[in-house]
Amino acid sequence: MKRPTVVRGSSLEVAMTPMIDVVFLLLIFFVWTSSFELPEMDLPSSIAAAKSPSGGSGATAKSTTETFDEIVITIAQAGGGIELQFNQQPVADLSSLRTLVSEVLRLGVQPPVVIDPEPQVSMEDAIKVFDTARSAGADRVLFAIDPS
Amino acid sequence: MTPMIDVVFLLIIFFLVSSHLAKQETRLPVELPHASTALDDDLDVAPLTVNVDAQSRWHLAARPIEIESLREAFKDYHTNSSRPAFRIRTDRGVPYQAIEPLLREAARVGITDVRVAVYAESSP
Repeated sequence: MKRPTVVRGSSLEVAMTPMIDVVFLLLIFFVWTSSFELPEMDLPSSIAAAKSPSGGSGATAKSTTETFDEIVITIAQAGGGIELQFNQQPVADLSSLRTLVSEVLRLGVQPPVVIDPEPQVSMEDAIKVFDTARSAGADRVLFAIDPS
Repeated sequence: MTPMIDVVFLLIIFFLVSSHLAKQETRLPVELPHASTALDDDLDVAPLTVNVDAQSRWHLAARPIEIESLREAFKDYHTNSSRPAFRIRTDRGVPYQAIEPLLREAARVGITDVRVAVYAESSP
């Protein structure tokens, strides 16, 4: 019986060039699809204007007099950090603010939450408070503006 | 035939990649704030985006802009858009006093749908 001869050389050698081609194409493909930028997301918000005679559309005008018709969180710059007030009562930190907001929401009402940062407060802190209110479950979180 | 197809294919990929990179460069690089409750972009609305850089300068369509021309731009946008929305890309160190005038002008022309661009964060 004749034994099949083992062909040495060419046919068993891995063809390098097509492999490099393919690897190169794969490399380019992955470099292309991977974005080195962080994906950007959107925080939905709205605008609450303080009551004013000249203010824009009526739908955005909010009164600050009734309790729990809305929640007003003011942010003040204090030293290196921020000072929070929840409807004019001081709040120690963000986690107690979240507890407060979620307790109000647990009553079954969904009042708009108005964030009112002082002019010097950085957007990072303002967004942090905004985010805390949203993570407590508030649907409508608004930024306060002074219409003057 | 095969080498030609290879070359053509590489050229196609090259142009795709370069066009992709060119698209990415259109964003003003700013350090956005982080938030955990952010949503994906809503593709149904085409918001007017204003960039605010670390020096609190406003940029609209890649050009620095002042409050008067911004007011005009808001008015134009509001009359031409079916679902007007306003998107702010702001550096995280910018004080609120640089943002408030933008919101005021938006509210004045009647745009109340506001979005703030943020980076996603897994935990608050």
